[in-house]
Amino acid sequence: MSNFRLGLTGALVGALVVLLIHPVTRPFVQNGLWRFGVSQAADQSPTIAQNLNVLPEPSDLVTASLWMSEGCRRIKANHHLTTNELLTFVEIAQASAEREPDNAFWAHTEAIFQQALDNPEASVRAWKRASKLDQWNDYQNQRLAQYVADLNKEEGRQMAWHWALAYSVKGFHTPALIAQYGLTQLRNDNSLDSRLDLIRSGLLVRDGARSRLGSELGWQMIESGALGTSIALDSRKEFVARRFSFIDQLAQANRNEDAIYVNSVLASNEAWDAALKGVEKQNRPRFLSAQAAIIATLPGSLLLAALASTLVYVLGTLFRSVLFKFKEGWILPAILAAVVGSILFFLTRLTFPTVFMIIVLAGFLIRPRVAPLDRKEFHFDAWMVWASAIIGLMFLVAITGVASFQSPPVKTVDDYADLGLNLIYSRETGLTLAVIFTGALIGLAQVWAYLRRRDPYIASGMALKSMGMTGLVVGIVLGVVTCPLVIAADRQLTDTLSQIVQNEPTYYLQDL
Amino acid sequence: MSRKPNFKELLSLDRDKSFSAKEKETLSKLLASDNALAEEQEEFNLSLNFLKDAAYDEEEIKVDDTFNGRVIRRFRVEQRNRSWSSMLPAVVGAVTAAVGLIAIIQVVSAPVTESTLDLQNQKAELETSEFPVIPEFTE
Repeated sequence: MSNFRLGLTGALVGALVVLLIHPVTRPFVQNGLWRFGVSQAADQSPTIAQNLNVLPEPSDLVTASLWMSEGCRRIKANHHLTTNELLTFVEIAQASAEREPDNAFWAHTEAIFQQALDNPEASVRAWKRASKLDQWNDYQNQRLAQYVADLNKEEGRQMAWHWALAYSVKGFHTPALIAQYGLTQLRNDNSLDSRLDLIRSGLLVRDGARSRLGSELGWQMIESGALGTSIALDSRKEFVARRFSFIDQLAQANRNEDAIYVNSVLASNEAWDAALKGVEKQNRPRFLSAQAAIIATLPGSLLLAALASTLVYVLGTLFRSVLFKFKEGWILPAILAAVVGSILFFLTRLTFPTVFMIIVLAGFLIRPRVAPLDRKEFHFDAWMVWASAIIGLMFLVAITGVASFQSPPVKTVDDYADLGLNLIYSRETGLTLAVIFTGALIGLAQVWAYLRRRDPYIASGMALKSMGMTGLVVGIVLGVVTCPLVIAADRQLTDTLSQIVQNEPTYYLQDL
Repeated sequence: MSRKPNFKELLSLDRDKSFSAKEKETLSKLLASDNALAEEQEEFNLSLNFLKDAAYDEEEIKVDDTFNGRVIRRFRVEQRNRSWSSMLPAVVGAVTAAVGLIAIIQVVSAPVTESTLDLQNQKAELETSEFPVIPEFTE
């Protein structure tokens, strides 16, 4: 081996050792190389109600907010709640409101549970009380911060996909039920006071929900309060006229302060509408989440694909150095097809690629009249060399995709955020492609051997070795090179996604 | 295509290795056909004998019993040194790559500067929602 090759090999080994040992790079290498399946922390963290068998004792406001959120989630899903359970929710809401009298979240949720208990008077009292307050905090951010901390602990480092996951588990049941409750109240009581209460509550939810969807519900409450109806108006002219007639009505009733307040709220609502509504913004967190999940797996997946390429190289060596000695007869192709077919089916459980490979290996039954000279030593034509290298790269991409999409970041984010990545590139698709690429190269080598009167086992072995070596070298080099790039990109995505999770509307306003 | 050796080279080769029957026959034919060549061979043999005598005139070199062992050990040590030095490019490559990668990782993984913006308490409002009052001017 030349000094240059020795140096290059040493550099790759040195870099690999650092990637595997360094605490910063290790999380990026382990995902896709040896960690697969859904994240355990995501499925077991007690900060998410879905992971709990029993709700924890509401000894602090954060846990109490978890109770409120869970109660609203059950009502939203039409899940039956007993009277005792509803009474418990009401008691927790009242107790929390005593501890934090400025937070309208407790009064809003009490109104919802009182309504579910069929206590309309108590419910309306809580609703009106909420509209007089000036804060709204559902403590979801605090719970999500703990959720992200649990994921960090599992991974050994904070990564962008943790925030992507936090965004996907963010609930909107409470703002949705509050909006629903407010609009029902509007239908029952269309008075100026009732409409004003709805606008005040809407403003609290819009500014306090800290998510685009939650804020949009608050925005809807404000608009409905101003219009005096929850029904969408077709005419823009009528919309504007009714919206501002409410201000006139307040002024005519000598409620100038309220009129100024409503005018200001409606102006801010218009600004909110212009800044935050739009298809692009709806898709941005999903796009960023997919990006965060995939890049977190890239170095590890490339290294796994390099390992798989090593197996192809070993298979090529077997063909090249051993199998060609047993060239005569049908027994060897039959054994080869049976063994390789069985191993493939055992590993992949896929029928089509297994049958394809068996058919390709059966091609060894057709033997060309091998030229007597240079039986073992020959060179490929240039197109065969290129074909082996290109198929090696295609194999690398196919296996990288499988490893990436089966690793915890992609699998968990895809499951929780319903991104549909599994539909684009499933494990079955990737493995089928990898087997077809390998089989196609063996078939191509057989055809070449037949045309050039060479031994097909040796030709196939040479092609597989070339393919495996291409995948091995490119996989390791890319795995090493992409790691620092991925770390830098992940850092930026962590910053962006954490801002979106903590306060999505503010993030978009900053971005204007 | 190989070059045909000249007469001097043939003489030298004759000393260095055993000729095949065909080569010996060619040499004999050359010597028989040309006296000058025969003389040249004689001179060559004479010179070689002088050289041999000069080499063997010295006293016989006496070596102790451990000489062979020492030679073999020296050979092994040199062989091992050679194998280590042959791995030097790999070691240099590994160390360089490891140090370089650690340096890059340190740079790219530096914590993001915390934003001074208080996201938790920030309200989602545009500052332009309020308009300044237009003053009335009097002459």
